[in-house]
Amino acid sequence: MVCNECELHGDITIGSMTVIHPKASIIAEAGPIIIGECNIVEEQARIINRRPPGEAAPTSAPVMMIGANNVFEVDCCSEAMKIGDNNVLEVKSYVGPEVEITNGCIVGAACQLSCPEVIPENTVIFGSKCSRRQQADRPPTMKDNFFQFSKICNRGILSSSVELFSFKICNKGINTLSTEKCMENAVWYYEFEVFTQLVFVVLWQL
Amino acid sequence: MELQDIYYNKAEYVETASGNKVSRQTVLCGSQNIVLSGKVIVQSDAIIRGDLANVRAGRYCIISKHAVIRPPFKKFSKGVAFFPLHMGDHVFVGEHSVVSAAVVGSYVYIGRNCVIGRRCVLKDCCVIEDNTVLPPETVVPSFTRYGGSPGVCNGEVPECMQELMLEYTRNYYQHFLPAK
Repeated sequence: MVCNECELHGDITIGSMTVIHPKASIIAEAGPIIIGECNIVEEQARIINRRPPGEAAPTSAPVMMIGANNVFEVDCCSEAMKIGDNNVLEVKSYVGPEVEITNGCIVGAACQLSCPEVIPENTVIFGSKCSRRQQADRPPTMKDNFFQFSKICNRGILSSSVELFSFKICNKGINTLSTEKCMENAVWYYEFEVFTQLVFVVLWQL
Repeated sequence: MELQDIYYNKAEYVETASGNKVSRQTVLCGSQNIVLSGKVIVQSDAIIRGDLANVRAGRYCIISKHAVIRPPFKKFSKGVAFFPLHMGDHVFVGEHSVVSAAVVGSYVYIGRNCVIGRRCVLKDCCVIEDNTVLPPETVVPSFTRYGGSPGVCNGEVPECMQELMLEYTRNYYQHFLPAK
């Protein structure tokens, strides 16, 4: 499930049930990126496999591995070559290229990690001083509530791909910038919406 | 003090009958769920996620470049639900800020690079300083100033905050002009 407004470059493999929101960018510059199942990559998140500066021609392409059930929140930047499962990179966090994240870690909002190190399991990094502690229990897996989330997101992705031209802003009355394309898309969109909502209702009742 | 005129490229912005000025470079997902009440400025590369839940912005809101407005979600035992996001009048959201509050009151100033966590409640007339990170479910009372990471209260704002924001946002709107 990939939105068409995001930026994807190079050799990227994405597992099933992964959601990539609009304006996310995944850039495989130095080598391939492999992303596992059930990940969520939110708006403006950047996952970059970047060539280290000063190295002209690398002999082998380094592979970036990302496990399953990770969440990359809005505007985070990850250059880590290895990320395990069940991690959360919160809003505006940064993980450098020489960091390795294991499983169940949370990198808090606006925290920066750039020293070469391996983050042990279930670590939580938080606050302005990037303090650390161990989480007592493993974070719940996303799988249970994933379907719901993806359903909601799916609607969005359909809409955002269709709505590129149908630029509609509600005012106190209804005030549509009606071009032909807009109308066409609006009708299309409406049908989509009705359909997805039906599916949604049916699944909800199940 | 009078604000400097800010000129924008006329081709880039769409102006509606009620005076909303919205850049074409923004990502407005689910635009049928986004209500802009009038005289709202949405600058380039801002993202408003109306597809997740309703987003309502009052009059004279200014959403700066690269800001992200995204409705909050809550995990329940049975899945995830998104909540609508309401924003009052005369709200300023700085560049690169991420807002996933439940309610943003009126006359609120949010600085640059802020992170407003999920389901935060920002009451009327408060100030969030630049680079603040508000943890989820924070309630910011009226007439306070929050800053730091995690955000803590570090002062009060003057009682004339309402007038200040009124004037600031009105001025901003009046000085946001198309380039000749």
